[in-house]
Amino acid sequence: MTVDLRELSDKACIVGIGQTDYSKASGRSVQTLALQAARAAIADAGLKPHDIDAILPYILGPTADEIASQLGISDLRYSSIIKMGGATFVACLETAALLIHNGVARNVLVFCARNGRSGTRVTGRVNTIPGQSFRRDFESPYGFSVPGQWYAVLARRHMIEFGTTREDAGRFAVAMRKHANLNPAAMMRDVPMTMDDYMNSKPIFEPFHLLDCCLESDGAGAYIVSAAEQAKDMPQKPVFISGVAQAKPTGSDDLFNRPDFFEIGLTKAAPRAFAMAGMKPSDMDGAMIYDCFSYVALLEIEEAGFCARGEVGDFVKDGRIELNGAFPINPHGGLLSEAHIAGINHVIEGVRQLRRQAGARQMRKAARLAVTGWGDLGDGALAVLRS
Amino acid sequence: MASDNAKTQKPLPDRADLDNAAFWAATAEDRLQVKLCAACSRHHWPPRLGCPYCGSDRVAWSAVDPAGEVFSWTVIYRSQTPGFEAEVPYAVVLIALKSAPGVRMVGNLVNCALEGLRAGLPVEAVFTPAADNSVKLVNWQPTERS
Ligand SMILES: [Zn+2]
Repeated sequence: MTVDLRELSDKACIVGIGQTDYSKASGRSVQTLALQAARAAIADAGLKPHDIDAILPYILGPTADEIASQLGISDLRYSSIIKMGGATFVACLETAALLIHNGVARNVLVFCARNGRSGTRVTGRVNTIPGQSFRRDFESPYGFSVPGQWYAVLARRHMIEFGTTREDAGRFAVAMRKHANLNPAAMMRDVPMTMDDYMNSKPIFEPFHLLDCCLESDGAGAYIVSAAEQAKDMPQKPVFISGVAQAKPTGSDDLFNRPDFFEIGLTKAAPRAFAMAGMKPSDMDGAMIYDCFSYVALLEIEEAGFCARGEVGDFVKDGRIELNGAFPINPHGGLLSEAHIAGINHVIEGVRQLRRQAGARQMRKAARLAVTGWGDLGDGALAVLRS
Repeated sequence: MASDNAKTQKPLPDRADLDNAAFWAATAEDRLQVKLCAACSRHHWPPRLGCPYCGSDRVAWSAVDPAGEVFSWTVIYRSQTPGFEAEVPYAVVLIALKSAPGVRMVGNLVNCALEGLRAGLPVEAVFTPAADNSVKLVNWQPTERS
């Protein structure tokens, strides 16, 4: 028997969001950051800590036990780690909705806390990537050992097959920076960036240059999911989880040997999430796209179905993805220019836009938004959120 | 804390890995092996204990012609691998093997200027001893008669 996911549509809502400041050096422990974001999200939802009965922590950072103990939660009914790398915080929306719809939990806390700049940087986080013996034996000996290097090989092939250019990726990166300049919480709020800056930035892992790469950040984010039935009596305008799905790409323990080289988790997850919502990609007013690297965001735009494969270069032209364009992407500035909080900041921004609480960067029309996640060797998730 | 040694020495394959050791035994003799499935006759890589295409456990190491072409690559200017800092910029190439359709292997480009990199460049394997001679890695150079 397969579950009819449509039954899950709109049954759960994001009812609270919280975050810390984002910085290069928080000066606080990840426990402190996590608790600050969690308390903010719980307060935003109008709840008390003891109302939380399920916690979904990130694979790295404080555990559910530690957070529950320090919030005074004495009856944690459910906790588990959803292991989807940067797709985790979109995938957690599915788990949370399932828990709530099936009566396992009433209020689910999801959080991410990291000192990703001042503490454990990327080279210290790759030990959770799948296929460790393959990485160790067949990649690292060749000086090939971090995600940006792996994804650069995907990007190069996309350039070879479809003629995608550095300017295409640059349009994405410049749009993220313009957005961040409107976002008082963004690490890059005061740092403008032009296409010339982008083109002249130093090569890191060709074709990736410095300004294709996400920030490394200290900070935390959290959100709360509750039943739609309960959400209507809560202080914030509820944000409905209309559709959500996660998927592993074929052979998710290796990035380079898929029969379809560009297949990622999103290739499968996006159609399922849109079907659950009863909507199409073209019904979205914009999207939060997981942008660990500008080129990765381009691949996701295609595989999520916002344009056909190979056509993303045209899609990002003429300001389409900018705040005042036809299809705004990441008004917060994304991982490239707001902060890298593993994509939980994309979920938070989606909620803020749908509540119309985004200040100077508020999208004109934001009734239906997609949020994507990308993790590890192409894991993917997509959520369709609506107000 | 990592020792100074660990910071400066290039990482090597774990030759004691029970599942991957046969690969290094072959490269020691300048032979290239990938996994072949007896049930569906497809090669696969990296080497798994069951076939990623049909699920059969009838997979075994199989010698292949160590030749292919450049499918994609990255040129690394900022290495995050110990021991590689002094080698930048260097190319990591993804090679599509000619005799094992669907198999793409990672290695370094050798005996070729970075400017010579292009998709479809015919290459052959070079079995390169590691600094401590404990193992031969598989790198790739342009095929002379191409
Ligand atoms: Zn098979």
